[in-house]
Amino acid sequence: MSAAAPLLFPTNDANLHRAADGDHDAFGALIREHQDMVFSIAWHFLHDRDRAEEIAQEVFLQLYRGLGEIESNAHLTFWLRRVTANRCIDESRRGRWRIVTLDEANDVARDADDTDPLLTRKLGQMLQRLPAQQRLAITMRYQEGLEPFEIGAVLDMPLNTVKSHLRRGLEALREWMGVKR
Amino acid sequence: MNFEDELQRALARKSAPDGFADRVLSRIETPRHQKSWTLRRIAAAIVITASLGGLTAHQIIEHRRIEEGERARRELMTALHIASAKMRVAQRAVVHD
Repeated sequence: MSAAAPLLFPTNDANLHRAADGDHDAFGALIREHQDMVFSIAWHFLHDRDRAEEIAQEVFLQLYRGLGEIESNAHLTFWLRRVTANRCIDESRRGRWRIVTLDEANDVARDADDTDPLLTRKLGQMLQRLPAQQRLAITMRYQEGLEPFEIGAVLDMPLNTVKSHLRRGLEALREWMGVKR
Repeated sequence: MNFEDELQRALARKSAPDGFADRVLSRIETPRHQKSWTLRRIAAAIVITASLGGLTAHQIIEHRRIEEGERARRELMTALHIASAKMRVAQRAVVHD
């Protein structure tokens, strides 16, 4: 699998330093640079546009308060992924996210086939049935293109736990989608 | 179907809603602005309170100083009256003798 957005990439930290010095335009540029990543992690976790935006906004507000602690653009990307993941976990613990029932999931899975143009949408819906940690691990792997050791760093979990979450998550998704290995 | 490719497609990044960055920035500027105004109000209240306190203290001290001066003047006048009366008594005694 090719890395969609690797953890480490050539850095241009000028905006970061200017934002840390209180330059709002620079902070606006930082938001625009990373907003799709943050919003997408929250969106894939919650499958709810409004709450995903709410979480994404909170993440950037937290970033604004802690800008002085961010050392580089790579550190910023890592920090944003980690804080977004933590906020998603907090949100799931509050129980505000909608649970897709087994019946709903089965209905969607029955409709899916190889030529279904809505397949990706259905996969996204299936993802909602996974436990939070598995969902985040799979999101980091397939949205962000992170390697398991990078996912472990972001989600603060051992490598074997990450591999276990990925394996179990994929198995469950395959089963629900009726896909044979 | 390559399942992992489909999963990667399903989990592709989505665009944040239009105006997202502006909404975040407005949430940053508002509290800062409010904080600034709150600090200014507190500073103004402290200055006014300190000024009023200083003025009141000055008036109390001035009032006490005037009162003490008045009391000293009255005591001096009383002492002069007493001395004057004693002098008259002594003067009469000397004249009679």
